Amino acid sequence: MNFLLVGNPNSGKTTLFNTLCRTNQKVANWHGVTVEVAEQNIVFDGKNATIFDLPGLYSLSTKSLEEKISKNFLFSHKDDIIINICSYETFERNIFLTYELLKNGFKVVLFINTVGGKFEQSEIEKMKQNFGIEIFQFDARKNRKNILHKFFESKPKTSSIQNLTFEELVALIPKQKTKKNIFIDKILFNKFFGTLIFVAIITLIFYLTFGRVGSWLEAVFSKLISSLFFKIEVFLLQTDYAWFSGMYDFLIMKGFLSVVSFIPKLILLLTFLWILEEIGYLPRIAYLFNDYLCRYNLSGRSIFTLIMGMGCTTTAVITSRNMENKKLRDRTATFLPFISCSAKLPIFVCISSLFFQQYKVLLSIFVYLFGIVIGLIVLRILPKNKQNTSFILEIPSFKFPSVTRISREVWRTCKEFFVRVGFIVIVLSIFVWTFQNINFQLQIVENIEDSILVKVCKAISVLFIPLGFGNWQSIVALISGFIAKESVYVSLVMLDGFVYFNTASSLSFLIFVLLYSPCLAAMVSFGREFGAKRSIFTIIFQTVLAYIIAFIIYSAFNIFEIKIAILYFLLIILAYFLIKKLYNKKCVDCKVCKIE
Amino acid sequence: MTTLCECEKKKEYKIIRIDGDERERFLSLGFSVGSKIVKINEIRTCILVEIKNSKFAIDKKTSREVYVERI
Repeated sequence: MNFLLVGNPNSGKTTLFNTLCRTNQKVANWHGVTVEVAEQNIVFDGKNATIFDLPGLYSLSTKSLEEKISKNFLFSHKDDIIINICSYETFERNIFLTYELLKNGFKVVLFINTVGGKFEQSEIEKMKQNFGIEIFQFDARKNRKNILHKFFESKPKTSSIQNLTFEELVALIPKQKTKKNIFIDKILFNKFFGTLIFVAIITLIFYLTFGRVGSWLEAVFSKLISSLFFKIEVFLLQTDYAWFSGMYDFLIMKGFLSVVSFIPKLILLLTFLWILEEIGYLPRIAYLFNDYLCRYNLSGRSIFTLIMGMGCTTTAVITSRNMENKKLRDRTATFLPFISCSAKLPIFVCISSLFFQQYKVLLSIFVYLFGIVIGLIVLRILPKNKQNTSFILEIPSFKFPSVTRISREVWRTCKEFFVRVGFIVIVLSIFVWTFQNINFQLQIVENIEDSILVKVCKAISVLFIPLGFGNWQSIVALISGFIAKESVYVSLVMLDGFVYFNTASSLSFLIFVLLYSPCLAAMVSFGREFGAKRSIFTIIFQTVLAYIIAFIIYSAFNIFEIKIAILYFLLIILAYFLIKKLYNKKCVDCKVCKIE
Repeated sequence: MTTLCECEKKKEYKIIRIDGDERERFLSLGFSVGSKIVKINEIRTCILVEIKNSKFAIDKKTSREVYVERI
């Protein structure tokens, strides 16, 4: 038996899917979170079933990629049971899809998600009679047993409403309670105050993550976890496995623990982003920032992909499917590698703490901002999008963040981070150890300088002398960083690479890591979404650009000090925007939002 | 009759006609003829409207395809 969860975006499909299947699919309060069909087998009361969670769609006349995925899936599973999810709050709108499904002969069971209110039972009974289909209402976040019971019991049927027009159908549904506009929205939708609040929120997030709170949490966590692993090492020394303690020291104490200690900062940063997603703040930003993004031929819709990029570029690339316009999607993807992903966080934190102790929060903000500014300049230089694109976006109502859901996300991130870092440390250690100890004749070397690793990396490192980090340790870090960005930091710790840096070269290295090619997984994702050529171009383009900018930074830093360098940078940005404001009062380039 | 883009803020209007490429899209979002609609905010490139308990951000060019009349 197959159940297909179908409904408008943001009606609660994935929430219901997670409740029924006890899974932890990503849920958020904006349109286009689910972009692929998720599937899960369940057993309930001895009966087997497969539940499919389809990306949201407003109607069967689709436009965006994720809607096409849903539509194709629906038509290829026409005999399965369609559970059409409608939200109580937006029932009058959601019912349009129900109408289309019934018109197309699908067997539908209507599920009303009661988060935000519910109909009277008498109203449900009346609708059942009028629609001629089964209807039931539950809170999608709970009542697993009751919902599954209803699912298995339901007898979906084609409806008798096929002769009605949509307007006639709407006349048959009871009226929902009207929502009141909340005061905070009035401020958030104001361009000046809304922008100011956004800047304040982002600054606060960075201050808490990279400032005292994050550092304190990191110190506490580091102390706890180190003492635990130290006890294991002491125990090992007392047993027959004492020979293993050397490797344990290299793998765990040096490699694994050094990077795992960044988990509190990572969690702090991602938790803030999840809260913003959960409460429904992102669509408001999308509306507000459409003005700014239009100037770079992006759209407010790009915001979702870009904010996701602060977590992971790979998933953010897939999220771009919620954009209908191919060229807009393409430009958003061009901008995406300039948004720093969370895997780069350890190297940023480490370099800012080691070399820029006084300005570590400022430097972290600077690095993120720098990437964005370079990305915008690149978009300015690239040819403009001549294709008209419309921007229609649903702004969901504010919701309280679910503590359970956020803690699940925290747990999932920790688990993934531990596993990924553990894997990286083991693979990297084996790789480094092997190639550090053999020469090109595959013989064991006595001097490390004769090994394959050192010889190859030293040869490449010559290219990086103008950037200030022409040592083989940095090259190992950068190459391994192409596989996974966390390993840039792990490699440098393992090879004691930080001792070769000074203030200027560390900043140049930081900028290079920020801008050079995204990791392999992200590039595979790019290839799948935009083609292999585009993926290869991104790798080459980002690396060359990173090289040029790191060279400029290193050269500039050798002339000026950091305070003056940052001041100059901020002044250049300010001057750029002032000149633009004076000479370009109207959005004349953009065909999207041209105003007469 | 005016367009959604040009209508006054915070005043109730009724949809009269929807033209253009996004007609189907608007219908699927609940913008049916006769529905009550209110423009609640406006920035340089977009407007924000409220219809059937939901808010939508629409770019100005597209919003000119929706014709409305004051209730």
